[in-house]
Amino acid sequence: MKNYIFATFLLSILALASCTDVIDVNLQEGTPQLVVDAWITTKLETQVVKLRQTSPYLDNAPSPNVIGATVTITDNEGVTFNFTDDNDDGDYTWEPNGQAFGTIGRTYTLSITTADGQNYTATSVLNPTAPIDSITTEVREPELGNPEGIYAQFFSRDLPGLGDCYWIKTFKNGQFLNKPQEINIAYDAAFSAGAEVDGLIFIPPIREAINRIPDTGDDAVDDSDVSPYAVGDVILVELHAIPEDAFYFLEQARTQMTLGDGGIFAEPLANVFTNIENTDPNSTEEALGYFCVAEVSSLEHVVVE
Amino acid sequence: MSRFLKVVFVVMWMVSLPFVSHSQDKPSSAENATVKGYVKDASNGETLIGVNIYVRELEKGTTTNAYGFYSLSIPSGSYTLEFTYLGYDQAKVTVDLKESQTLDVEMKEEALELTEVVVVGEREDQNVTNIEMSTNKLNIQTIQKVPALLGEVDVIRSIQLLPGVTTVGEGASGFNVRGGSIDQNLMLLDEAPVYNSSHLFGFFSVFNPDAVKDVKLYKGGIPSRYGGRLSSILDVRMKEGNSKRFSGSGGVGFIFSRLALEGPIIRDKASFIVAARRSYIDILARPFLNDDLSDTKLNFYDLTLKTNYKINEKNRVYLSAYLGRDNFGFGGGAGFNWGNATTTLRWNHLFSDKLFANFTAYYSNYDYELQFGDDSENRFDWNARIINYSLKPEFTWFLTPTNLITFGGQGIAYVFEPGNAVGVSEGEISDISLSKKYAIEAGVFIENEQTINSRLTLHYGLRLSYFNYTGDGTAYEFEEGTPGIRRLPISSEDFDQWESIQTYTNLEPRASVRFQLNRKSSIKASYNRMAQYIHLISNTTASTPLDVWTPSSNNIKPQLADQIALGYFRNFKNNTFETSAEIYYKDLQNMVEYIDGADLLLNEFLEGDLLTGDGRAYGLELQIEKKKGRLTGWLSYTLARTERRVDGINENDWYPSRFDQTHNLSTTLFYDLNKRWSLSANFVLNSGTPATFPTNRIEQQGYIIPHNSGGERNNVRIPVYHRLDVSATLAGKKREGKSWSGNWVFSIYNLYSKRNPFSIYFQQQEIRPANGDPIQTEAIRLSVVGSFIPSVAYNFKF
Repeated sequence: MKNYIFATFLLSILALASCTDVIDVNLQEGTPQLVVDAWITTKLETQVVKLRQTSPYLDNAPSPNVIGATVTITDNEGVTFNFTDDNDDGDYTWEPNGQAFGTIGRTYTLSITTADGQNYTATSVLNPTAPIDSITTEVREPELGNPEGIYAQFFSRDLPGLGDCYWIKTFKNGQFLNKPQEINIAYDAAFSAGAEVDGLIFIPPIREAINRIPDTGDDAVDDSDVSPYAVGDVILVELHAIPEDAFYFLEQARTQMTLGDGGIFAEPLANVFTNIENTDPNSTEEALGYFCVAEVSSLEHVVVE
Repeated sequence: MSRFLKVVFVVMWMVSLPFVSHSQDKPSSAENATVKGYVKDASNGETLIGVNIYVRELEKGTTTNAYGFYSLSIPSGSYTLEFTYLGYDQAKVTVDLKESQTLDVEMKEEALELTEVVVVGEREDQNVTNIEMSTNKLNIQTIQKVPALLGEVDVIRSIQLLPGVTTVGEGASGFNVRGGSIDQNLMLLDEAPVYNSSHLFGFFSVFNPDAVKDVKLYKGGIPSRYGGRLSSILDVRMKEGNSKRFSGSGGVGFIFSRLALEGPIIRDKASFIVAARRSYIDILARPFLNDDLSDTKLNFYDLTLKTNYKINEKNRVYLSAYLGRDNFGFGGGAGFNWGNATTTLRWNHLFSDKLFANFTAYYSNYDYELQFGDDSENRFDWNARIINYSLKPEFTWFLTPTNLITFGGQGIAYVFEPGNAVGVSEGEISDISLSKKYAIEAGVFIENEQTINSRLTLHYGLRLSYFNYTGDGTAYEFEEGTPGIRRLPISSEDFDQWESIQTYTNLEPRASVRFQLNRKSSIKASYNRMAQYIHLISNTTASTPLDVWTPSSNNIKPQLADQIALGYFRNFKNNTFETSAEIYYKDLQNMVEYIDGADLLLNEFLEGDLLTGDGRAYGLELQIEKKKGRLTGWLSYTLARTERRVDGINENDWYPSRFDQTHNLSTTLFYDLNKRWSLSANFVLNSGTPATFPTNRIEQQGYIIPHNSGGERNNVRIPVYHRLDVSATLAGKKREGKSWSGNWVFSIYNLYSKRNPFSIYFQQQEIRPANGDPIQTEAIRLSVVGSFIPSVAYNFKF
């Protein structure tokens, strides 16, 4: 995040001279691998473990589904949750039926057996989350290239104890702010480990990252001339208490998805790690993706004049 | 160690040779006398570096050192001394040498008579006869003629046109020499190191051309008096200031306005030069900015100052100082600035006719500063710096015309402040500053340039370097881990001020040999070992001003390089054409690399995110330079390879480094059309640099994460780079009795508007997809310069 802020800084200057073009590139072919997408929460909605295959990066069709697998999550007290693919679409689901997933403090193990007999496993601890105290909006003068308009921030205090990590997900009128640049994560109350910010109110850049990042480019509609929020908008903020490792996964994923924002200061492309392991150490089949469990708190706010 | 000892013995034996031969010579040379002095430019009194002095009768000679001083000890008698220097008329002085005497010589700049054949001295064959190889000397007059981006004459960008020197792309700071990273270049401004060579990232360099006298780049065969970096030494010497009369120069361009003033303080005793530049993009742009950008501040400036005082024939002191700063303000209290400051104090002292000494003391500082927020309840301040102080005695001993000995030492004290950061959130203060680090670096060296006979010259030396990483501070021990994965600290130990945490010692042998095949050609070979104790922490394509330097420590070993080079040099057509062919091989150890996802800023446990690896670089460099006539210039071609191997990257296999360029062709031409118009052009053609491209996509939580299924690094090359720049200079009419002269420079950078890729990156579509819609991905080409850039500049002198 630190790097990201300064890259943005630097680039606002370089942007004057440089130019970008979308080009055709032939990429080398990679080996398809299993991708596990399992971010389980305590929200009272259908929980999903998605199994897919990697597909060529520039191939814009959805990645192929992986069907016929057995998917379970078991906690350290022996409670098992069965995830089933009822529609044969690679989405393995579990319904809460009024009873949220899991118990705070327990360790959860995901087990997957694929149709070709490979066994994969991953573990995660269900951490408690912090409540969101308030969401406020204010009208701001133009600055830093942002227009005059309504800007929001949320207030919440990091739980005591080092190493609490959060993924702050924002929804504007039901639309999840889903750009990679909008991934808003916190380590204690700030950006990274080592900062002495335990138990504090989240620092301003995190509080304010619930304002959408404008579209750029020629086809931009919601561009930087448009106010982030308008009167009547519904802002929903969710605070997911993700494990520390998941924080690093999201941090690296965000870096890799936004390398272009670094311009001439971009880091080299690197693979994001996974916590999915093949139980057979001799197997050549390796999976990718991530499994974690998180408690979620949320708060909704309607923008008024 | 035994290999080292052997080398020590060999070198000691070689160093003792001149003493032996000297004592044997003694009976026959009892009536030896010394002629010594300074060589200066007749018009402004600037001392000239590297002037050839040749005694025709004896077929022996010497050259002036970095302070313009020479000394020759020869048997008594009558001689004609020939002084030759490129771009100057040869000076012939007859001396009747009975006893030692001082002979200061002033040389006149070559008059430009285009219609006549230029008469030249015979000793213009330095390319062939000089022992130096892998070295490029650029005088400021040449640098000023190269077509420049936005008309701004630039030292570093000119250097990038030389063989063996590359850059990752436009706008990238610094340069890469023979496969070395940018922190492996020691950039000296009047002997003080400059830690960041760029204004506005890498677009302009910090050296003000109005104040620069001489630029020399050592890529190999590096003399033992230099140390501390692996790949090159860029030695920039500033003008001393006109000692004859008050004069000035300056210019107005698109980016900078420049003004330099120089003149005598006490005639022939003391002079000064003050040179300043300031950019004014912000002033020009202000009327065009929207309201919300009107607080934007964007400027950079530098100030160079030098003065010298000749106390008497034996003592002279120099004081030089540099201050440069880049400022960016974004309104709302957000700002970012960075810059270098250096000060050098030097004392030249003649102990005897033959022993010249220079004592240098310098201070150098690089720092940056960031602020967010102008509200005391919510703000963030962050700064970082590297400071060093150094003492450096150096002795030049003109022992005999065949032995030129240089010896001395250097001590450097470093203070590193990797990050002082304080945040205030709703009045709650959090201080996330990192602890300071301290270190001492020291070196002693001796070298001898020995002429065995008219064919064979040797230059050999030894440098002993020492580094001490000291307290006060905390040293961490890290867990043994899987390479490529972050290692966490397992224990720590506190140290007191100046208490040693870790020391390193290295012996660095250096040697060059020249063998003259005939009057027109020679072969040269060299070997050098270099040690580097401080490292620039940067894992981005172009280095950013935020990158911090860190010392070698208990966790980071010093970087080492061994380089051998072999070259063939030949001149044609009465030295009109100089050609050279060199091959080199460089072996690098303990290169610093980074784990995937490394956190390099404000990370107390930074060392746990670093990896070390090996490097190798080899190549062939060809150059042909035309030195005389109306058309001058050079053509260079480099065929090279530079690779790294690091446990934890690229499946532990060798991979090309980010700045590897297989082919690199560059040509720079100057043509004098008539008395007023001169033209210049340069063309560069490079192989694309390597990059890492993804193969697959990983779908995760609605995001598309790029993935390379082989875990490869730098597996693809971006397309070829080529560019043509041209410029035309119109000299103003000379008016009788007026000292004012001016010229207009019209230039076009990137004449045919090539959109050269700096990089190619991959991303999701920029427009927000609706929830549930498939996400499109695309490849984007980033061109730093997207079109041709014309410019006009006016330069003047008076």
